[in-house]
Amino acid sequence: MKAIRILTAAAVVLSLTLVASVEASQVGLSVEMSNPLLKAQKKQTTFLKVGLTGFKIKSAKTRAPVNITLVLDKSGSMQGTKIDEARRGAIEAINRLGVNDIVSVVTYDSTVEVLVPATKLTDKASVCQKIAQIQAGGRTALFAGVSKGAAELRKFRDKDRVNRIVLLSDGKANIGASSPTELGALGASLKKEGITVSTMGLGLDYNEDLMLQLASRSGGNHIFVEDAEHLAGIFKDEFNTVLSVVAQEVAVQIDVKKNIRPVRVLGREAEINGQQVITEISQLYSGQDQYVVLEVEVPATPVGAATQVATVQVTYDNMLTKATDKLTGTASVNFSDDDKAIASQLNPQVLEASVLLLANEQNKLATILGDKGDLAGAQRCLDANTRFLKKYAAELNSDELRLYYTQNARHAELFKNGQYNVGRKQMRSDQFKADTQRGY
Amino acid sequence: MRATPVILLVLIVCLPVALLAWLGSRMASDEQTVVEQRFRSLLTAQLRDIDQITVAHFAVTQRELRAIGKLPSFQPADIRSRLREAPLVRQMLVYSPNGDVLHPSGPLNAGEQEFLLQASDLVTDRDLFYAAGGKRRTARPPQRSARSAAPPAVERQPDAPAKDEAQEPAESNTTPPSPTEGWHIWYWGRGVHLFYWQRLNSGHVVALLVERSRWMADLIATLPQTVSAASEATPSSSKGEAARKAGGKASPSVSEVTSSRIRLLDSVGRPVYQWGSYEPDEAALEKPFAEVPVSSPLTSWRLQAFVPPDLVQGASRSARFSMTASLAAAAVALCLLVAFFWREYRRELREASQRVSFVNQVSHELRTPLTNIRMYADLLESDLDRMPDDETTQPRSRLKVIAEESQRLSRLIGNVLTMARQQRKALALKPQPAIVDDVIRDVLRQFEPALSRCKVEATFEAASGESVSVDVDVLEQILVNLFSNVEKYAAAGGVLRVASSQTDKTTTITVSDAGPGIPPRQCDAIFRPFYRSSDRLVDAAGTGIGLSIARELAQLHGGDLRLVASETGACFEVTLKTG
Repeated sequence: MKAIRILTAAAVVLSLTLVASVEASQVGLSVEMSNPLLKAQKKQTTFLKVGLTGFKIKSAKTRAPVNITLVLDKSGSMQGTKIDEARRGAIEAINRLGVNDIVSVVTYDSTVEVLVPATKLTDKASVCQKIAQIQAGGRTALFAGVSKGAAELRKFRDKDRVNRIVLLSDGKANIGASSPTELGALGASLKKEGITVSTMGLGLDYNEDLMLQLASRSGGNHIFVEDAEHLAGIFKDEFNTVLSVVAQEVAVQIDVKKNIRPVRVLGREAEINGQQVITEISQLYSGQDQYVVLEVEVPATPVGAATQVATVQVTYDNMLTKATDKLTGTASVNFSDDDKAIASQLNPQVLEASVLLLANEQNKLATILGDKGDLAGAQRCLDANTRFLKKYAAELNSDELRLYYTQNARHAELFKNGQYNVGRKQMRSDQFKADTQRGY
Repeated sequence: MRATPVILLVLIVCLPVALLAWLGSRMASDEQTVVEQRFRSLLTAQLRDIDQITVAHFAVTQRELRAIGKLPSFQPADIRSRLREAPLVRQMLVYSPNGDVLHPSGPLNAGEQEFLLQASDLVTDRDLFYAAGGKRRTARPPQRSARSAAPPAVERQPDAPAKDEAQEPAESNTTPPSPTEGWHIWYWGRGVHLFYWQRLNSGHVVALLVERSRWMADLIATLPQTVSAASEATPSSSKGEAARKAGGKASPSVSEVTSSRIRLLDSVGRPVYQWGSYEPDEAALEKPFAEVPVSSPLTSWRLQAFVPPDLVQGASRSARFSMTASLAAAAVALCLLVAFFWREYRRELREASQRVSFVNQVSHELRTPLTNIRMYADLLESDLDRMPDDETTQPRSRLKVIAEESQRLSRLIGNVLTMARQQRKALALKPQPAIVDDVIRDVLRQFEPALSRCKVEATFEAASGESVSVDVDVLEQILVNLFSNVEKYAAAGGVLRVASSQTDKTTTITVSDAGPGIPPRQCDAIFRPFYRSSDRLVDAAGTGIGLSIARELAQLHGGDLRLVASETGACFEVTLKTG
C-alpha cells in the first residue's frame, strides 16, 4: 500500500517536471489587424483582434485545484424529475473532483441553507449523501443563494484555485434582489475577486436575462437546459471547463496610439479610458481560443505611412506554474492606394471573428426589438443579418460563419412563426456563446 | 318541600364551578397575553441581536472602504485601477478641497458616464460634499431625500455627533469639529444606495459608491441561514460562523430552537433576505410578531420576525389544560361533598319521621291507659260522694289534681295525634249539631281549677246560643290550646276574656288576655309549628305546636285563627264556618 503511494507521488512529481519542461505552459498571444493594409487618405474603422490560446494540459493530474460552490434551486417548481436529475448531476460532478478540491453546496427556496459548508473534498460520501437528501418546495431566493454561495467560496478563495459558483435555477427569482441588473452587478463585483458564476437555466420558466447577466458579467458560462434529462451531461460539461482552466484573471490592456480612436469592444464588457482599453477574461481553458475584437477609427493617412495602431499587454495567473505571466504584442497598419493589394492582405481569421461579433450585435438588437413587440422589425433585422453573414461566409469560405448564419436564420424563423417567446432562451443562449466564443 | 333542598344543592355545586370557570378563563386569557408578551420581547431582543450583526458588518465594511478611499493620487488611471480591484466599490467621486469634482472628469469611460448621469444631482448640487462638511460657497441647496448618518468613526470628535453636523445650518459661521467620514444614503433606482465618504487630510473628499448588489450580498452572507432538520442532525461547524465572524452574537436563538421566520425588509417593505423554517401565510398577509428597525446606515430597513400562531397559543394551551383539569377536580369534589350532605340530610329526615311516628305510636298507646285513669278517677269521685264529707276532703282535693293532670295529658296527646293526622293528611271533620257557647263553657269549666290556681279571672260574653253544625272535638281542641296558652304565658295579666258571636255562616270567638302580649315581628312566627316565642327558662314549658294546630284546625273548619291587634295582652280571633 505504502509503496503504491510513494510510486504515485513519484509519478506526480515526474509528470510535473515533464510538463514544466516539455509543455509550452504559456498562453499564446496574437495581435492582428483585420486589414493590415488600409486605404490611404481615408478616415475609416477597422478591427484589431487580440487572440489568446490556452495551453494544453496533458494529464488530469496537472490541473489546477478547484474551489467550487454549487448553488442549487430547490424551489417548488423543481419538484419531480428536475430535482432528481439535479441531484444526480451534482453527485456525478462532485465524484469527479479530488481530495485537493474544495466544494460547498448551498440550496435555496424561500430561504437559503448552506447544505455543505466549504470543505476539502475528503469525505465525498457524506457530501453526496447530503445532496441526495435535497427536497424541493418553496419560492426562489436566488440572490440570497448566490450571496451565501459566494461567502462559502470566499472562505478558501485562492489565486491558485479555480473559484467558481455553479448556479442552477428553473424559475424566476422572487425573494430579494431579482433584476438582471442587480444580479449582473453582483457578478461584476465577484469577477473583481476572481470568482466566476456559471448559470444553468433549467426549463422554460427561468429569467434568462438575469442568468445571462450574472454569468457574462462574472465571466462564467451560461447554459440553457431545456430538458432536465440533459442536466447530468451539462453538469459534466461545466465541470470539464472548470477542471481545465489554465489561466485566470487574464487582464488585457490595449494602448491605442495617438490619433487613432478606440470605438468599441465587440461582445465584451470593456473599459475605454481615453486611449486605453482594458478588459478582463476570467478564465482560459486548456486549448481554448479566446479573443477580444476592438474596433478602431483610423484617421486619413498618406500612402506608405506605416503606423503602429496599438500595443497590447496581457497579464494572467498561470494555473500551472502559479506565477503571474505577462505577454506583450503590437499591431500596425500600412496605407496603400492599391485596392487589389488591400484585398489580398485581408486577415480572414480576424475578419471572421469581427463579422461574427458584429452579426451577434445585430442578433441582440433583434432581441431588443422583439422584446419591444416589434416582431417585424426584429425579423427584418435578422434577415439582413443572415444576408450579411452569408456574404462573408462565401467570401471568407468560413464554416463557422455558415454555421452562424443558419443559426441566425433559425432565429428569424422564430419571429416568423410567432415562437419568439419559446425560442428566446435559446436565442439569448446562442448570443452568449458567440460573445464568449464557446462554439456552437 | 323537597324541591328547595335539591335546588339549593345544585346551586352549591354550580355556582362555585361557574365562578371558578369564569376566573379560570380570565386567567387563561391573561396567561395568553403574558406568554405573547414574553415571546414578543424575546423575539425583539433577538432581532436587536441580528441588527447588531448588521452594525458589526457595516463597521467591517467601513474599515475596508476607508482603506480603499485613502487614495495615493487623484490620477484617473490610479483611481480606475483601484476600482478594478475593489469588488465593494462601483464608482468613486472625488471633490477637491474647494468642492470641485476631480473625478470622474475628463474623458470618461462608459461606467463613469452612466454614474454621472445617475448621480448628476448629487454631483452638481455637491450634496455629498456638504454632507462631508465642505464649506458652502452658495446658499444651501434644497435637501433631497438623501440623509447622512455618521458611523462610530475612530477619527470622529467625541463631542460632535455626526447627525447634528449633517444638519448644521449653512448660516452658522462657527464650525464645530466635523467628522471626517460617514455614510450618505442615496435613494435611486431600485432603492437605497450607500455612499461612504471621507475627508482626507488634504481636504479632498472621497466618496465611494458602494456596489449595491455587493453590500446586500455580503450582508446576507453574514446573516444566519435556514437550518433544516436534516442538517441539524449532523451539526455543521459553519452554523452561525458567518455571524460570529462579523462579531454578532450567534448563540442558539429562538429562531434556531423553534420554527420561526426572520425577514429583512427594504425601505418599501420588500423582503431582501429571510431565514427560518416557518413559512408565514403570504395570502393572509400575516402580521409580523415582532419588528425592529435596522440601525445606521440602513435606517429605512426593518427586521421582522414571524412565528407560527399555534406556537404562541400552544404555550398557553398547557396552562389552559391544567386550569380545566383543576376545575373538573373542584367540581367533582363539590359533587361528592353535596352527595354526602344529601345522604346525611335524607338520613336525618328519615330518623325524624321515625321519631315522629314513634311519638305518635306512644301517644296512641298512652290514650287507653289515660282514658282508664280518668274513668277510674270519675268512679272514685262517685265513690267518695257516697262517703261522709269530712273524711273525703283530703282525697277529693288529691283526686282533683289527678283529674286536672290527666286532662292536661290528654290535651297534649290530642295535639300530638292531631298533628300526626295532619301530616298524614288524615284530618277529617265530623260536624254535628251543637251549641258553641255550651262547648266554650265546658272547656272553661275544665280550665277552672287551673285558672283559679293562677289567679286568673275568666269572663265569658256568650252570644252564640244557636245550635249550629260544628265539630265539637275540633272546637274544643282549638279552645284548649288558646286557654292553655293564657294559663301558661299570660297568667300575670290575671284576666281571660272570651267572647263569642254568630252570623248565619260563621261563628267568631275571641280569646284575649292582659299578659305581656306578642311582639309584632313574631305575629306570623307564632303560628309556625315548633315555634316558641320565648325560650327563657322561667317561662312555662311547651311543645310549640299548640297555635299551629289550632290554626290548622280552624282552617280545616273553613275559618281561621288570627292574632288581632289589641291594646293590652294578646287577642286571638277564631272564626269557624258553621253554616
